[in-house]
Amino acid sequence: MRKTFITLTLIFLLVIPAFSQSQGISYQAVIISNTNQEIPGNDIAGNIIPNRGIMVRFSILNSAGSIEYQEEHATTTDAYGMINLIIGKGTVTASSAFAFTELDWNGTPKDLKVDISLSQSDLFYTDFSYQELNFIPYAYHKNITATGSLSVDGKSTLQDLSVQATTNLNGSLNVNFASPTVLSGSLKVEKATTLDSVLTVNSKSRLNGQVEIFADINGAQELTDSYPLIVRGSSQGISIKVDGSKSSANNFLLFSDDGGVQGRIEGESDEDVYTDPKYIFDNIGYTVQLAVAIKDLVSASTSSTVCVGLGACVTTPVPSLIIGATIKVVVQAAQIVSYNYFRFQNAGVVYKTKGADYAEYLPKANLDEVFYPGDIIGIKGGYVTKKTDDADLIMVVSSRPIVLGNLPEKGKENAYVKVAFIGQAPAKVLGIVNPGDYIIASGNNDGSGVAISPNLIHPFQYQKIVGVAWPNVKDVPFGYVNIAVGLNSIDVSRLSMKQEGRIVALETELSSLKDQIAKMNAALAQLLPNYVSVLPNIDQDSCKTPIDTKPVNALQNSLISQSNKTDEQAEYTITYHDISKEQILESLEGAKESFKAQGIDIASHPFFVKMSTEPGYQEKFVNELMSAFRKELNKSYDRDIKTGAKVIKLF
Amino acid sequence: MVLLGLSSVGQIINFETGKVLSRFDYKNSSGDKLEGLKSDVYSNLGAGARFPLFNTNFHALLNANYNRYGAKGSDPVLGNYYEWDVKYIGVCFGFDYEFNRPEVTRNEQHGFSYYIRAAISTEFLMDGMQNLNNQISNLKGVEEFDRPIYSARATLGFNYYINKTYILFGQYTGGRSFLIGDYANKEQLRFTTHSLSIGLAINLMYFQ
Repeated sequence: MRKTFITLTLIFLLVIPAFSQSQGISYQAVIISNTNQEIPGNDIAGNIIPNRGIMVRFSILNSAGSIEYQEEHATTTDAYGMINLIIGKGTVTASSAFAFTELDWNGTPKDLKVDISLSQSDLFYTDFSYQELNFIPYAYHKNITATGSLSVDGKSTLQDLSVQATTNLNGSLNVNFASPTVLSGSLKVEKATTLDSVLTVNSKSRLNGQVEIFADINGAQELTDSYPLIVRGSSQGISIKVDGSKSSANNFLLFSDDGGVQGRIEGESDEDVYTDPKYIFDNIGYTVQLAVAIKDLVSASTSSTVCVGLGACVTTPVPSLIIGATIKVVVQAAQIVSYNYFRFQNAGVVYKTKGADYAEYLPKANLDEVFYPGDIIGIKGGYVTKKTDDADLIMVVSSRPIVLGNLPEKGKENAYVKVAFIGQAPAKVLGIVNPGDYIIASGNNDGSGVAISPNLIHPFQYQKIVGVAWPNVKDVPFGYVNIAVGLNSIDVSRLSMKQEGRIVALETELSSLKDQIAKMNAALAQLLPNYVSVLPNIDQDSCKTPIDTKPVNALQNSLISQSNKTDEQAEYTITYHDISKEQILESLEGAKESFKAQGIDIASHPFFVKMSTEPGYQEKFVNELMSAFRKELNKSYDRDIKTGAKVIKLF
Repeated sequence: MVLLGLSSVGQIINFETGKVLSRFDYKNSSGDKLEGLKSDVYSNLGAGARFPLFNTNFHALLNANYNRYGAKGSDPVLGNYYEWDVKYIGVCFGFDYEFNRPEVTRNEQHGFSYYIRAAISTEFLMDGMQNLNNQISNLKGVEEFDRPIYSARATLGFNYYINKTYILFGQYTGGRSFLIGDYANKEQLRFTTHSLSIGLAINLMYFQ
């Protein structure tokens, strides 16, 4: 019988590399007879060979035609002449150069040769097929379509990989040969990420965690490349927003070095405003002006009369003066309210550091002169010198400035001195120093100063004041004392207030004396007809001034009936008048008119806005003003009592 | 015209029709038979002349035939189905001997007689069709059907003399073809036929 066989209508090649499965190539074939079946007439071609035991031998050959792997399978065709085998699971023959798992699928062409023996006992192999392996994974430049999962245990080289769904890489991912990686979607990295080269982000970047820049670079401070963080490319710099409202607990910036924290920029709290020297200065100034206005009001509401004889003589102050003085008080109070409103509303950030003063570079008068921190110096024509005798200003060399302005050109720093303008600064002081003492230049022109108690200082020493010894200073014979500088004008104002008080008292006393003399002259003129003519340099009209006849009559009666009464028994009477709530309210209207006259918009002025919108504020303001007035009035009253004058309170 | 000429001297012409059951006896080149073939039944036609020999009950016969043969079968293992339908025309020459022939000299006379016949025939394919797995192909010129077939036939029949002119007859004929030539290591196809037919014979000597 002469029969040969041809192969096969179907071949499936699959790699099954799952861990629970061995590797292999699925091979399926239908065995068809290549000999026609003879029947009467036309013979039948292409008959299958069903249910027959056969031997199949697979050979995998390399491009040179050498056998790399060979195995045999004993199998039986099914009812449809089909066989299903796994290449790689057969009996390996001696012709195999490698085990199946050791085959190198390196992309070079490989061929599969199939031989079939129709007898399993009497082997006689005939060629069945010889074809190139051209399917996954033995394919080279072939498309792969897989509807299931694909697992690859070993290395895979892919020229162009496109994955349509989620891709899981359970190992590391290396993109070699400096190949670019382009992600059109978002990138999420859950672990620490290291970038060894330049990172360029062409769009807005949002970093939700802490960012630490550790740039191991050094260089000169004037070189931009010396700095780890460079912000450029915009007309604006850095915007910093912290959570919550501004507070000293929220730092916008923190400055540190190897020595620890050296400073910070934080939100300006109310406490910061209260301790701001400028705020203190301004408030003291406004308060002084208000106090002066209140004193003026007290003066305006006070009248003094000389009474001779028994009984009280009472005269009333001029109402228009009271109203005018009250308006001044209201205006000053409104200025304080307005200032405080804007100051707290405009509170921003504050820079805090161990430095304690605001300083500027000022040029030396003599380049050879050497200055040390704490030296008390004189400023003459804008130049720094240790000669303080004829200096325009007396200042101190800064030790640790917070802000240092007027930076000189590079290399010319030695021609300048850092001079403290405001804040705290150590100063070289000779002698005993007590808190609150004024520090003035010693006059030795050696950078030293001396302390003078506020009670002992003279006006001619005001211009020599450098600052005030800080409350935490202790008694020291010599050394550096922490002083507050830049507040000289405040101190001078305080001293001026004292002087103002003295002057007002003297003026009041002088006015009283003038009034008494005028009335005495008037009384004498009525009693003595030629009295006016004998008085030298006297205002004739003043003697004609009508006077209250009651006290005059009382004086006449006193002179007639009590001729033994002496001049020493005549009484000097000061009358104190209260101001009413209606007068203050009237003054409020006057203050409004005053502001309007200065071009100030009343509708937006914080004081008047508060007056009109905040319930009870007007009542509170009026009460406080009356309280302050009465307090000052009582002080003046007590003072007059001590002078022995007769004082009358008419409220 | 030949038949009519013969009738003028030969006596009897006949016409017949019937059914023929054919069976294909096939061996492939390896000598293996094709199992599972079944016979088919088709019609046949025939016409010819009988010539008495020496005024005895022997007759010589010369007929022309049209026969249609067929068979079909299938292979349950391979799943193949096949069917053949072939039409042959040919001539048959033979001799018969009539038994118990009645004397019929007048039209009023009737009677039965019996006869046996031996004949040989040769047939040629007129048309043929093969159905293989529902694919139809023509058998003209295809091996086993591209040659004339030669057959030996044996007939057993009866005559009923309706009158002295007309004779009604019925017969059974068995036949088997045989091969002529070298068929060594070649496919061999033989036909075995069984036919039943009836016919009408006319004695031309009395035909007016």
